[in-house]
Amino acid sequence: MQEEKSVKTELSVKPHTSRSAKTSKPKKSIFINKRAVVCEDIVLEGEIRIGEGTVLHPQCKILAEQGPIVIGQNNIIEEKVTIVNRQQKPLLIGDENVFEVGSYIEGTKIGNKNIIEAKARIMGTTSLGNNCVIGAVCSTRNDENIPDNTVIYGDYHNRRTQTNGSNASVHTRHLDYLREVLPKCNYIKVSEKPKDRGSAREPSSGHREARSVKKIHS
Amino acid sequence: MEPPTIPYYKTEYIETDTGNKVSRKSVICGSQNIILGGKTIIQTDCVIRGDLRRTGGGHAVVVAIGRYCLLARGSIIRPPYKTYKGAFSYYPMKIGDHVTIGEGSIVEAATIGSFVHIGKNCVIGRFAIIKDCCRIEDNTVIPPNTVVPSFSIYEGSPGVFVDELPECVQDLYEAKTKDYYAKFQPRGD
Repeated sequence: MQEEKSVKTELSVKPHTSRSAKTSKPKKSIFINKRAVVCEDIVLEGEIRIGEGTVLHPQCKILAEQGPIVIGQNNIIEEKVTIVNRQQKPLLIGDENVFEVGSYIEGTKIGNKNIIEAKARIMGTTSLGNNCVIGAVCSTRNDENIPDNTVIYGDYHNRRTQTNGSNASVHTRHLDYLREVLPKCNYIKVSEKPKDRGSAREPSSGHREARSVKKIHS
Repeated sequence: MEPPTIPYYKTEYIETDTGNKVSRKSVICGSQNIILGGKTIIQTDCVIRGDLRRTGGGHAVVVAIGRYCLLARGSIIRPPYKTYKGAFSYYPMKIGDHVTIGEGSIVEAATIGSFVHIGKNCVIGRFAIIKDCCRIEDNTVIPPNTVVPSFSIYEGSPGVFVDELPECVQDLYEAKTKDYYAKFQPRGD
């Protein structure tokens, strides 16, 4: 975490207060790094830190109900992902993880370079090592330590250990793509943006458009 | 005994000129890259990601959906991505006519043919190809790059072939989707 770069989110600095009704719930402190790309259409509650280069797609939920949630660098968090912390201890999420559509994360610690596939669930006080893959619709048990390189897959949530490393270049290219494309069609939390991407968001550039059908027709 | 109509609140849905009914509570990103064929129903809490388009200039269709399709509550349509010759890109997705996608299903397929039924809470992996006249049962996970042949029933995680469909499914699914569209009417009161 590079705290000196973080900007505290305040409602007063957001120009779209009417649309951010969901995010306007009372919050203790939400720190979003300047270089993170965070869409506006999300729910953030409680004490949350989002690290450099992390991308949050619209419609994801991060709920720090008890302790804080600390998200590291260069993670991708897709639509309808729910990250909840119901413990007093902080939920620490490392770097370069991918949380795919509809996954559900509790737990106490997530390492680095993990892939949580669609609809996968990490339950209770589980902690996850590095370079793991939780397959689609698989879940962990409530309280366990999952070692590095574990793959959970299939109907019966079978486990094996993978030997090949994750493909890091795909992840960095994916991040580069998302950082370029997401601001064109989604409202990004504005105050956290660095200046070099500011031009893509200008209404005059012609790229900006309504996020949902609702906006077009009403 | 089937109910005579499937009522919805008129204020929630937008009806387009071609008869598409799109819920206001759905999230449609990049709507200029999405084509709906007509008489398609998009229900509450659906997400369609038309903003994840292929890199490079020009107008691109990201999600093309045919006629008489049903995207039930909470289903998510997002185009698949891969790196090809070192370049990362999302690729367009095509969905045929008379396709039903069940509640809470996530679709990242490359192509879905016509007359396809996808059950509830399914996950269709990246670049899967589902041919015409197929049935994917509830809670199935179709792994990435799978090809589901015509007239097959897939089930399980990972999804495997379990049975064949008769030749009449084309007519059955056509009748079913048309019937659903006809019954999907605003509340009388």
